[in-house]
Amino acid sequence: MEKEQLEHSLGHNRRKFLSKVSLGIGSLALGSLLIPDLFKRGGGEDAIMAALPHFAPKAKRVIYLFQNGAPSQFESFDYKPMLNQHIGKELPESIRMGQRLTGMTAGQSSFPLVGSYFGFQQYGEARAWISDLFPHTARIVDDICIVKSMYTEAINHDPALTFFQSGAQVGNRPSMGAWLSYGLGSENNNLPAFCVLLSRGRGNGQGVYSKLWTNGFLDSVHQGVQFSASEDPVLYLKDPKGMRREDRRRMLDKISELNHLNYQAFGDPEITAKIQQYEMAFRMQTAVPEVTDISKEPDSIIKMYGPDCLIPGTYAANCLLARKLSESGVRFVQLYHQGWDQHDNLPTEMAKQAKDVDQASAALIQDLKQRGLLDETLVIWGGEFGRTNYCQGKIQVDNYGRDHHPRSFSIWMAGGGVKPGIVYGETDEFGYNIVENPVHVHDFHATILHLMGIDHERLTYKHLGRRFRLTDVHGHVVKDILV
Amino acid sequence: MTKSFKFTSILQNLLIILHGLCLVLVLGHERLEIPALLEFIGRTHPLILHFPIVLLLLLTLIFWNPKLSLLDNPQFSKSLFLVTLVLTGMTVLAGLLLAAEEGYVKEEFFLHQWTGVGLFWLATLWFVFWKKQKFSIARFFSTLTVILIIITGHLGASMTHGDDFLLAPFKKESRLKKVDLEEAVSFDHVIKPILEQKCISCHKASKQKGDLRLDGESFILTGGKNGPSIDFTNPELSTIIQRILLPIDDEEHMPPKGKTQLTSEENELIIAWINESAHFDKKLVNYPEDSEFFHLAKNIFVEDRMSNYQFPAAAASTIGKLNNDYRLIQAIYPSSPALRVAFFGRGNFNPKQIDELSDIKGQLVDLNLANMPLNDEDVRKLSQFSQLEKINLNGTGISGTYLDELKSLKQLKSLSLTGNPIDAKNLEKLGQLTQLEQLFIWETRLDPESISTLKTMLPETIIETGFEDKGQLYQLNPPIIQAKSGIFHDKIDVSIKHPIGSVSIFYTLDNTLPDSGNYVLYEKPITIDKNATLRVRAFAAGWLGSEENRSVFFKAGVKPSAYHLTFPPDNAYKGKGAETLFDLQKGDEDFASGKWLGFKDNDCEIIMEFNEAAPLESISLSFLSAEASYIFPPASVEIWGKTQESNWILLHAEKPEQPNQIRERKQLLLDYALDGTPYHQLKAIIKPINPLPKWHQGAGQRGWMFIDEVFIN
Repeated sequence: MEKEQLEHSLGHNRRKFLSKVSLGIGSLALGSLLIPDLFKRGGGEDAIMAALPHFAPKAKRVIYLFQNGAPSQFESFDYKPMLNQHIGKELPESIRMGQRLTGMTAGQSSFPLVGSYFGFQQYGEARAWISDLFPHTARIVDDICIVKSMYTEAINHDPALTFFQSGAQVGNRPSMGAWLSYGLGSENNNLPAFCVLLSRGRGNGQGVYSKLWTNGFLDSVHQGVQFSASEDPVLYLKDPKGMRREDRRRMLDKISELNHLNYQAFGDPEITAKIQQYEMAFRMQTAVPEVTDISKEPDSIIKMYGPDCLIPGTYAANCLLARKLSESGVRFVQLYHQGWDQHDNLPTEMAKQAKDVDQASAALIQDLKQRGLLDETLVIWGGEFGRTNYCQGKIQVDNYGRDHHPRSFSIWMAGGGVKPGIVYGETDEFGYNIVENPVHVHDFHATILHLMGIDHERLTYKHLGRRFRLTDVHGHVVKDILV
Repeated sequence: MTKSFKFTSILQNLLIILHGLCLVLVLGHERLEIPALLEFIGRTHPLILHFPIVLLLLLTLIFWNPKLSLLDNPQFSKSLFLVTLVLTGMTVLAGLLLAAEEGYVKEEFFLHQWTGVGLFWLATLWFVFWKKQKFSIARFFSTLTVILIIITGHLGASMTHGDDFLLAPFKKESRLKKVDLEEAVSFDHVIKPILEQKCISCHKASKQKGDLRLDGESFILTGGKNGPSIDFTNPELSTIIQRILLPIDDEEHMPPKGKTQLTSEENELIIAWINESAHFDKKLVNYPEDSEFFHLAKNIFVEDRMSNYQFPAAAASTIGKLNNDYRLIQAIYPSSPALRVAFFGRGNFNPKQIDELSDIKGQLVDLNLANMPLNDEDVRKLSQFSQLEKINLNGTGISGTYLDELKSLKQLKSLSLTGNPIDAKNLEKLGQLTQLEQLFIWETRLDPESISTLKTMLPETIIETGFEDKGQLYQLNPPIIQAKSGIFHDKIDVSIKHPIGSVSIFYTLDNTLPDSGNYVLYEKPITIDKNATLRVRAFAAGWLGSEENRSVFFKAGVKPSAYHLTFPPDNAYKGKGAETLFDLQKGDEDFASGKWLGFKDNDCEIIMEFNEAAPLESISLSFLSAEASYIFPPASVEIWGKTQESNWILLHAEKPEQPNQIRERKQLLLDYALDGTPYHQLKAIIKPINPLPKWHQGAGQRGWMFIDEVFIN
């Protein structure tokens, strides 16, 4: 803000300086020596923006199905029969290699290995192993790319989730959706470029908070807009009863005039952001009801997504809404589904969680595909880290738990330039360490930006004296999984 | 005289300013970013630089030629000198501004910049000493000036036109003919061009830095003073790989700092080539399918359609004019002439908006009209956009009468028609679009027979028919019970909803599970006027019946005039004491919410008094059971009654059934009839379980009893 104000006031001086130069006064030389930034244009952002996207994008939009709480890879996509054979045996220290533990198992004196309670089958051309909990995902296996070699550094939910969303474990950086909104803008001016949908599962849950969809230091027009499950999907969007649309229009025009006056006086960019947001809200008043109306969806849609898709606030309903928002040009739709934190009661809880998300996730892929949209929409499914190959707490045949595990976990991606029908990366036979093609969270971000036509090293924003990126100073595009 | 004096004095002042500005730019150019206006001035550099060259050479000629004396007309000579110097200064200034723009390799302009600035300074000194009539010093500076003109000019020309521009016609050009992927050879067509561009200038016959030559297979294998360039046993230790991967600031990094660097793709190509045994004459197509080198290299030969559009771009002003809040027009990526257009906002759509696009009909490759209300005639308008590759007509309502007109779109590869009532009689028309690679026809009313006919008509096209309802039965979700409160005084209207409008809702009020043989069909809101458990399920043809949803309703017809507990509840769950039992607020399943009273060490003895002796029908007690939390149904319940005249009489004594395993939390309602007797007082004695049963983890300890409400009717 201080920077912007300074520049704003200098903007006047710059003009004066230039007019004086033409009169032949050499003060420009002196002035530019004293104020080295005089020749700079607004932080260099114009130049950055003008070059975006950096190359032909494969994906135009992203739908991120975030499985909040960290689903276990051992009961989903990382099949480790070794763990079933050695159930109850101790995890060798040579495998653990001093990996730090969470406070929840740090006091545990033994780390008994535990295998999946659920069976696995192989599916698709890639003969990918998928657990019996995900029959619908198994059906679309030829359309997705399973990455079994994700890793992160965080071992607790909040930092890990924040890391996945913003590229840093501490909150205050812009979320990925905000970066894309900043970089690529909205396709549809009548809807926010970045929408957020929340749902709560039946397993042990972890919180989600609005800092996860923050604009951080970017302009606040880029922050995620949360759609709620109530009758008003976007709160405070409706006009009060008795207010005509023309009245609203006139009111906005007057407010805008006042805001422009204020902007000229103070130069605070938040004022222009406010003007834009009022205008968008006005257009959203007609666009949102059009998109969120699911009453005209055919029966086959309900069968695809499951009947829950008609109950606002469920994961299935959010998947359907995500498709509709994405189809209407929303750049980044972020879902969070809570309830994947199975420290105990894993078999019971995970079965419920999987039942809630499996069908609708697969339906979303299928639905995009049958509309010809899958090749331009990138869909991502996954949590913030993995779970341990050993049991947390008492181990029983049909009841066990798994603690947080950052060193390896599985996610899947589909559409938008990602190679379909492949399994990427491999973990050791204990499922503890990655042995092939590791993919760090920064690499994941670099790859997503690449698919959207952005060089992750060139999408920057100058803040507090340095240029920030989503990938900070890291990240490599995972070219092997690109089409 | 005054007039010309004024002219030269302006020129002199200008000259001083130019020197000042140049000095600032020379010293501070690294910190400067140039605004667009000044960028323009910078770009005049190549335009005006020819004036000072010519004028300086002219001045030199006059200066050195004894027959032409500059002193013949000193005023004119001075003006000529000043004009020349001002132009020189302006050229230098423009050059410095131009250099501050991105894209110039620092080392390239470094020399040119300093010789240019030096030239300006020397020429000025030449003028100064000439004016002071110190001719021998002036001659010295004049000589230096001429030398610098030649050097600066040459350096500048090399930057603009390339290194060997002048001599190029004499050199033998080994320009490669473009080859196809099928014929491409690993070294000659992939690696060699990289080496030629970036390495060979220092590693060739005439210049062998580090004794290394890279202009031939044998030289590469021999290597330089550090041994062979390629290590076939440990490819990653090869000198070439190590050198190119060193940080750019490292002395050993190749190409050296200042020279044109390898791109990351070129780096990867070289590394992959060496890792895969550095074959010199292997055909690319003979590399295995999973070869990284092959995958990287093939990109060179596969023409990228997107970067190869031959048509001219539309004017930015045209695109800007056509863009609005409901119609997005943008290049598929910057610098591409190809445009994509998307319409948004059904309510704002008008078919005329398609006609307006005729200004960009030669550039439009991707058109998204999804969910816009179209008429079949509107489809005809699309045939004018001859470059279209992708059309999305999902959910537009067309029946396909004019789809055949799209066959003139030779580039059309993808057509989406999902969610349209495509008429089977228009099948023939759709079948003419043989150029399509992909066709999306989910939910189009085309029956399986028509679809298979279509597949024979379009054998080359991938036809996506989408989700098929294969008769698999899915379970419905349970209906939702909507009621204001679970407790009522006289009666309550309860409505039941289901998100799918067409389902049948079955319900019961007698605490039995509704199914096909035991149900009441829900038609309108139900009126409940006594304690009841409402259980509901949804059924529909083609679906499995839903799980049940249930809700318990309590009638609280009579409130005692006074009531109290003989023994207090446990301190941790004391609520508001006896008041809690008669506040008409049901507790939920959170027993610590304050709406429940918990008893463990004391019995629960409730005394209720009634002023007006009205006939009482029943008393109901509402309990919680949550065995995992040590909360059990009461061990025993006794109901005592006392009329005005009688003593306490035991009316009911019950030992509710106890669970033999941990169950889900649930509420339990026990009803006791009072047979219309006008009791003056009622007493309920409820004992918590003690001890907990053997199967429970707390076996032997006292258990809990939780009660939240007493209803009397």
